[in-house]
Amino acid sequence: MNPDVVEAIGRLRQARVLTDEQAAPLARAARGELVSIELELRVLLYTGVLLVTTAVGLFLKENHERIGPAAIATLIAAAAAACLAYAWRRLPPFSWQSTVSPHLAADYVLLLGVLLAAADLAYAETQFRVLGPRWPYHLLVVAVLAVAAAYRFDSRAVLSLGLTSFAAWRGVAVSLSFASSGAASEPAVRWNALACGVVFVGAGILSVRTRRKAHFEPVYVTLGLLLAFGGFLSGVFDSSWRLWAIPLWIAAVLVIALAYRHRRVLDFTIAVVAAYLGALRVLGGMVGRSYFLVAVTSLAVVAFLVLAQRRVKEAR
Amino acid sequence: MTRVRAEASRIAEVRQAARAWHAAGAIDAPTLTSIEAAYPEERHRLAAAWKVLVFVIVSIAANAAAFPLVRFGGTAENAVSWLVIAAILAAVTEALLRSRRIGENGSAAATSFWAVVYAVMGSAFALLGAPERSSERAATLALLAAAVLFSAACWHWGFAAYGAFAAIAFFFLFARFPGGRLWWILAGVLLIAAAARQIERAALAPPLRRAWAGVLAVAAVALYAAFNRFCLDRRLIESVASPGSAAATAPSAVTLLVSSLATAALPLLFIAWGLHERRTLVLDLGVVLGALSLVTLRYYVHLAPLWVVLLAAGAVVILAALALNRRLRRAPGGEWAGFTARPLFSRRSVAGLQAAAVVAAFAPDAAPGPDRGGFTPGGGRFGGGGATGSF
Repeated sequence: MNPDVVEAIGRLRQARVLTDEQAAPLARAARGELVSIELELRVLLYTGVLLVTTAVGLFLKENHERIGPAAIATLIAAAAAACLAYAWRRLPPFSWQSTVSPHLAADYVLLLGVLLAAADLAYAETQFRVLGPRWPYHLLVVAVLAVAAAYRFDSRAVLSLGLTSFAAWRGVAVSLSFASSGAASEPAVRWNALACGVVFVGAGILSVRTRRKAHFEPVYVTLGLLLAFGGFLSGVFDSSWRLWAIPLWIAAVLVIALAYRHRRVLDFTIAVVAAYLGALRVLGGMVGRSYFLVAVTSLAVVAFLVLAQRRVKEAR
Repeated sequence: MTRVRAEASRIAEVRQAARAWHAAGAIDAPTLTSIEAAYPEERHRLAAAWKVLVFVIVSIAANAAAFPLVRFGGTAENAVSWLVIAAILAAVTEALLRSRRIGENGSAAATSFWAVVYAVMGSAFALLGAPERSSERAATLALLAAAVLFSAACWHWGFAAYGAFAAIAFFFLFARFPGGRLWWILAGVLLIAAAARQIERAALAPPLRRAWAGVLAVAAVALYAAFNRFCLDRRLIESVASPGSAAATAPSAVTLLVSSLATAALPLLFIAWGLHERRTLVLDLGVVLGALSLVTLRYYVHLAPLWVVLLAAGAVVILAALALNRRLRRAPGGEWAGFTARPLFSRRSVAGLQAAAVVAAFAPDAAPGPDRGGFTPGGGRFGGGGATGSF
């Protein structure tokens, strides 16, 4: 129960801001007489998918010699096909616009199907070596399949899986390990991260301009910005930081300006954080360890954030 | 918490609810405007993501500014330096919260948090510097200071998370004393009973009600840990105690039996309570504790290989969610016993979270570059979400 909201509903009804018909269901929810467990159901389904994929991974690890690769690959392929068939039956037909799924579980069964198919492809490639030395191409196959499934079934979660598989094919892991592993500092990986970032942002813009799956745009752009700024920052935190700091700040200013104009809080935040980290690194490189400068720079960034937020609110 | 801030937090609560009603289509835009006019916001509030960002950046600034002061005070163990910094940060917090322009943007949360942390460190170093120089006493005092100061900070400044921090410190403090497990049970029951009454008390400002919700969650976990069979066998609570005060004797057969039964029963009790009172927090706690009980059961009873257990658990979880969803959808009006699978007027958006969760758990490892050896026969990696393995 939320006593403040309950009291406010009563006042708003007395003041005729809310009609009796509007106020009744709102008051029921505020008093806790009707409670939604939609989020709990989604978390349960996500946990179930996580448990099943973990079990499949362990199953492959423990049994691939005993059962044989062909039987295992067939078994997992059958499970993936069953999941995808369920999703095909339950989810709405293809549309370039956003569709609303009437079945809470179908999205998660689709995700499970795509994950099982990806695991099966990886397993089959390892066992049968179809692609030989070009085995990373199986990640490209996974990416294409996932993106196709995302468009067919209108799933942002599966799209993000496809995009991360594409980045993985180019040698970029979209995870915390990107920042911590030594691989991220390799120039080829850095350039691949930047290229993936540009491609993803471009795809996001295209989806809006063509009005085809325009609601996918935040997934494209957010992942693209994370990859691009990750690439820039890996250069800034490398020994060649002087070369990378200026491009980082130019990109950050560009994104900040565009995000501010279009009221995009997340993109704005990503760019500010990237510029801030770059500034800390450059200050460290130029004047050595200066706590005073770190404090001043940090406070300047906070002041900028507060001012920007206030302007956004005033503009509304 | 000052009356002005408490009132502002109540207004913020109503405005947030109104925006959720509008997003759910329950009210139109003119009605939302009327509600926002009736409940005007006088304090500038940032979006949650920006608050977190401001908290992190102000934390960096505060520590960068404080570090030279600690060095100026001589050694890092100089308690006075830490306490002086704590006092300065507390004063800054007061000043920030008086300002309606910047008080609620995460900066005061950061300065207040570090004020408490520095005060706790100062207290610990003060005792370390005493003639007897006991690190064990210093640890106990640090926990006492953390419990008291976080409680006071929560009450005075109204940051909800401090309620949970204080409760955690209190439980670890109790564990330092002989009979720590019994203290956990007693304190757990008392705090749960107290928190359950306070969570919906209209006289409390919303941040303080949320603080009590945090206390309830911590107390529930502590109570469960005190009864859990694995925690008992491993003497996990007793291991926090000061050396010499831990019970050396093995638990009796009756204690073990009670522990086993309670490990199974407590989650069910929480679920039953959550269903009866229609409290999602209690229900969620029951489900999480139930999962922990199943993990405990698996630790002691090996019915099948791990992959079979995980597969069965995953299937049961998915099927249970599906069945519950179907039951709720097919019920008259989509409601059953006061529960619904519809999103109602909640602002708990999941679309972005879903994509983020998929990236976090299932993003594949990067393919190695050609200069790092290319294809290596005889091994590979697959899976995700903890399923990664090699063969």
